[in-house]
Amino acid sequence: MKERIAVVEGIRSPMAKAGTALKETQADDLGALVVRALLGRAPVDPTEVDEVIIGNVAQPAHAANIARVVALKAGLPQSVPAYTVHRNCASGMESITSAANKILLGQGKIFIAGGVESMSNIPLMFNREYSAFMNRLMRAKTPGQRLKTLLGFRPRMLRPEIGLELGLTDPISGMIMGRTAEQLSREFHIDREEQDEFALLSHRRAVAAQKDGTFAEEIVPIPIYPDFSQILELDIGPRENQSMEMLAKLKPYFDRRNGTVTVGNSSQVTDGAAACLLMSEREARERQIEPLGYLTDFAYASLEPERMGLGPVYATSKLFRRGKLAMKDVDYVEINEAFAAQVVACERAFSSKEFAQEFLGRETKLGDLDRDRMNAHGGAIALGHPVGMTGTRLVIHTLRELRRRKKETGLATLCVGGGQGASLLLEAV
Amino acid sequence: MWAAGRVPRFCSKRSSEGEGKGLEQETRRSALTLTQEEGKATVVIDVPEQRVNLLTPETMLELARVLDQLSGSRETRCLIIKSGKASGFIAGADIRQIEAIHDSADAEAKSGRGQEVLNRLDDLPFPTIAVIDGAAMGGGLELALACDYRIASDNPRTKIGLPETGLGIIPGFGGTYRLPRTVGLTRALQMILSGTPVDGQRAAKIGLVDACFPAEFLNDRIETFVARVLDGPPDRRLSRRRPPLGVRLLEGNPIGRTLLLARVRRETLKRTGGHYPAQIEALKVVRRSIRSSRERALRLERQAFGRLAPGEVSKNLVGIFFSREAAKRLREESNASRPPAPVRRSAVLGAGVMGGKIAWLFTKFDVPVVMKDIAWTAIQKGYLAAHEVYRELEKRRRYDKREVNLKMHHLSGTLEYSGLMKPDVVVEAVVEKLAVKKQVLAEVEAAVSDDALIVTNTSSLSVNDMAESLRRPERFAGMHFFNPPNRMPLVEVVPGSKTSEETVRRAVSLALLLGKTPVVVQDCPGFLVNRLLLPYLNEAALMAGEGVDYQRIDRLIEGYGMPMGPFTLFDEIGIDVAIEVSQVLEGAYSDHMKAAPLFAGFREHDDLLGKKSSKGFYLYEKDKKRRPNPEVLALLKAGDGKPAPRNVPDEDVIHRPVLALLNEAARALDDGVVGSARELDLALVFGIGFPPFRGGILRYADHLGLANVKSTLERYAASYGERFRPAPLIERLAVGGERFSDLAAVDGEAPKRKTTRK
Repeated sequence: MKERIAVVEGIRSPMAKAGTALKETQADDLGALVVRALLGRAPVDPTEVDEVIIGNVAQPAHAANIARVVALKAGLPQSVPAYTVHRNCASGMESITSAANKILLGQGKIFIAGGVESMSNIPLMFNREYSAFMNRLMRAKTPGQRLKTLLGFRPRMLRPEIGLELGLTDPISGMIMGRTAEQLSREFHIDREEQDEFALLSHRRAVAAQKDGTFAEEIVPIPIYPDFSQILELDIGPRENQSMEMLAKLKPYFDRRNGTVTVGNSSQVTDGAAACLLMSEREARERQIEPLGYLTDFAYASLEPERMGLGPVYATSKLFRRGKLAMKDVDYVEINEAFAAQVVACERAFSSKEFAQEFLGRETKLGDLDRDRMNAHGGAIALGHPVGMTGTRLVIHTLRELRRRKKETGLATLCVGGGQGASLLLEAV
Repeated sequence: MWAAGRVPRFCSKRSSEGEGKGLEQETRRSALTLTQEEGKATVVIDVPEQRVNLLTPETMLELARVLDQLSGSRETRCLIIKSGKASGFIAGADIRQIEAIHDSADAEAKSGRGQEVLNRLDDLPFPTIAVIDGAAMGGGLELALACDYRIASDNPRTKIGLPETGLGIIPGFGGTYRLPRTVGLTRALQMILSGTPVDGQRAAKIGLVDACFPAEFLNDRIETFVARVLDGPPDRRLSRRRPPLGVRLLEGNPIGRTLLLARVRRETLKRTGGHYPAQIEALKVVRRSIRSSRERALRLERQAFGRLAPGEVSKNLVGIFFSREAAKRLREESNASRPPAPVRRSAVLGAGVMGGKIAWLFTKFDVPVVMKDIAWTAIQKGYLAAHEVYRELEKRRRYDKREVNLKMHHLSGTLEYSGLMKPDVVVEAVVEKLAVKKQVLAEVEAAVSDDALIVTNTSSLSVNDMAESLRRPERFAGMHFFNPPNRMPLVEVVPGSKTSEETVRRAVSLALLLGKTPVVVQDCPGFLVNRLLLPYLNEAALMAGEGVDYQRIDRLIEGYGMPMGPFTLFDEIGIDVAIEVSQVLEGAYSDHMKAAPLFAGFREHDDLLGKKSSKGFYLYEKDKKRRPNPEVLALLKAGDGKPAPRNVPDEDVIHRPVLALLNEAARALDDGVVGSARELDLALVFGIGFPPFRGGILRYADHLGLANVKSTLERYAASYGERFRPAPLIERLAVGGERFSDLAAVDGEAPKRKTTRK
């Protein structure tokens, strides 16, 4: 990139397991609460913002182009345009990189980018048969026609299509995401225990970070809709009493007979929102703003939908090749924990020369992921994975952790349903 | 050009030709302009040198002349009446004229002349059409009702109604006769008794107007409408919406009407406590005239108007109306020259119940507000307090879900001063502790821009003391919102000695922006309203201590017209709060505000807090009627060595607290705490709900006669205590045979400072 992009400020809502504290809060409301709080901390006036870009996967029917709804509810002037981006699980990164591209092209100076998701509110849908039935009924003119149509009703018409399940299923391979994780566990020979151990690590780290207040600086508490009688300050997800025994008791979810992937070693279905304020490094310097850090480069890559979990390896390879970097040049990594099996598979692929040669077209391995320098406060397995939001959260958290560690270079990477990966190279100073 | 301000902006076609021609030259100074074009006559009403059209006697006279001219004209086929002002159709009669009415005969004559002119309009042999774009209130609507057709615009400023009963009179230009015949009995009574206006859409729905057209297309649509009227059969009007079947069944027969009228009468009596004769008279007139001839109906209306207009209640209500207008004008006049800085963003410090409700006020008027507190759990309380108000309003259909959602989004919270988002206004509402307030004010001053307005919402602390902690005290003032701020219409604006004129102006302006009535008062303990309220409450407590049944006190005081009796009020504000305030004021005005000994007994019962602990003077149990608290009854009996219960006559039960309040009001006025008797009365009506029909405490004293008041106070001083010794101002006025209303106002906004805090 010809110039670094300053991430001036970045915050997020607490993340709540779907169906719990934030279930009554629609994605646009959640996003607006976070963006308004961001404006409160941002050293710019709302009128100076050039555009708002929000990533969102489920795209609720009541808020088409949710970014515009978020922007207006958050109190941005009506004169600030907004659009929504969708790159599945990377939507919250796509919003940031779209803004970066626009800044680099000179199409604006100050952007708000973020991600929002309310997985609690992904609807159940009427199936096609029922829709056709309703259509016929509405077209029926005479009582006779109406009666005849009504007699055509069948109970199976009431079986809903589950939006959440459809969204998490890749239409090309026909595999639900958990199935792709099972695929990787087989390919890389990752047994159940290894997955559960990783899941336990995620919970332990998240619980510890909650206790020492690490998350407080990035979380804006959210009043609980609909009656505002409580306020949510922490993520609902990390389990203090999590143990190997408890994890072992869970049945494989996606392949009941031979599987290894359980709800315990998968990311949680969650609600949440995150947002950050972006401008060019020069703009920040002119305004004498000290940003959280910088986005220096990024790459998206793609692969077979069945092996989507390896996306981070492909994307990072592309990123490293361009920047002539290796893993040893990176001080800290946030990799999204879609599934424990998927993270472990990535670890192995990063460390494997053979993998690099066979799949990435490079001679040497990318370099080892060191668990001491990665996901220091747990990941989506403990904290949750509001699909459209996670990308933004990873960027914010990586930058904040680099500052805490007084280190320079970070990597935020995640796998994307449909067979893609995203990698963002970040710098704290 | 009547529609100058309302012609669509992106349109090459200007308002239709022909208007404003004709007599323009000769009659420039007159209110009415008549033009004729192809048999279509148009009267444009534009009262010269007035912001709005008022139906003055001169205007009515002019109308009569124009009608004469038209009724003799052969070629006229229809008449259109519209306004030449962008501000609306006709805002009503001139209230100054009503104020000036002092005897019944005069009132009847005034009403009769108006009725007669409108009858002539009614009797014109060709169709008549009133075009209502903007307000058509009182006489304005009565004029429109005398036309065959009414057209309204859907302009949000279009408000149509009969607000007369709010001023203690009834419609006097045939409104009580024509409205029930236009919209039916139920709707007519509702409009006349409540005075609430309707907008254009609603008016069309209830048949008050024949059509509601888009404001931008009003001229075009009227042309089409007039063409339809002229094409139709000459003797039949275009069809009008029939009222729903249920209404027709109820109103169409004598039994239904009797039932309806009896129910409305019951409800009205309950709502007004029998203190507002206009509502009752209006009901009576409508009842007796519903089936009678126009002549008889108008006579009944005229006579009732004659009885009400010179009456005390009407004069008092009109007085309050003018006081309120004056409070608003204060802003308009000063703003005309120098508009105050806009309030784009605001902040509230301290997100308790009070802070949350003040924050709610900002959200209601779409001003974003950040609540700052020291813990998120406290900020949640602010969210909750604001949302509770919206939930209530949503239940009453004032807002729908979408609106509540959007308005709640104006709220946000922060723990850091850096998160305040550069507010234009900061309202400090933290706990009532001087040290805390001073610290918070110093901190916030450092975090906001130099021209931000900083106000403190305090009820008991000194603005001057707080100002000491500020670098720039000139931009600081007190703003005492009455609790609950979502409902109480009064705000006391309290300048400190260093507060600049500009800041006072901005604070007054802010109060008005938030839909409140501001009164500027001086920085003395209790400011104005609490300083006056306390002697009143204290006196009630003293009487209870003497053995007077407190339920009887409440009942009698409510009968006097107060919205609630003193002991109910104690329970509402919290007995602990009342005790605290009484101590503060006893400290400041020891000689005549010695706290009633009754309170000492309460201090040992720390669960007797009033409504918030479900028990105080009364018990508040769920789903049960409130009843007196046996604990308190026992407490009152207990004290041995007490003198036997005193027999206080009803008259004194009412007048002891009321005159205690009056006596303090006279002292406060003398001290220059408030600029004028009028503002003092306004503050009491809007601050504690002092009965509006009495016009305020000083007006009530004038009504009693100050010599009379003085002798009663002296009698009370002899039998109940020295605290009743008449205030020097009362002595002076009584001796001079003067009244409070004779006192000249101390120059507008900034009364002289005589009191300082001790």
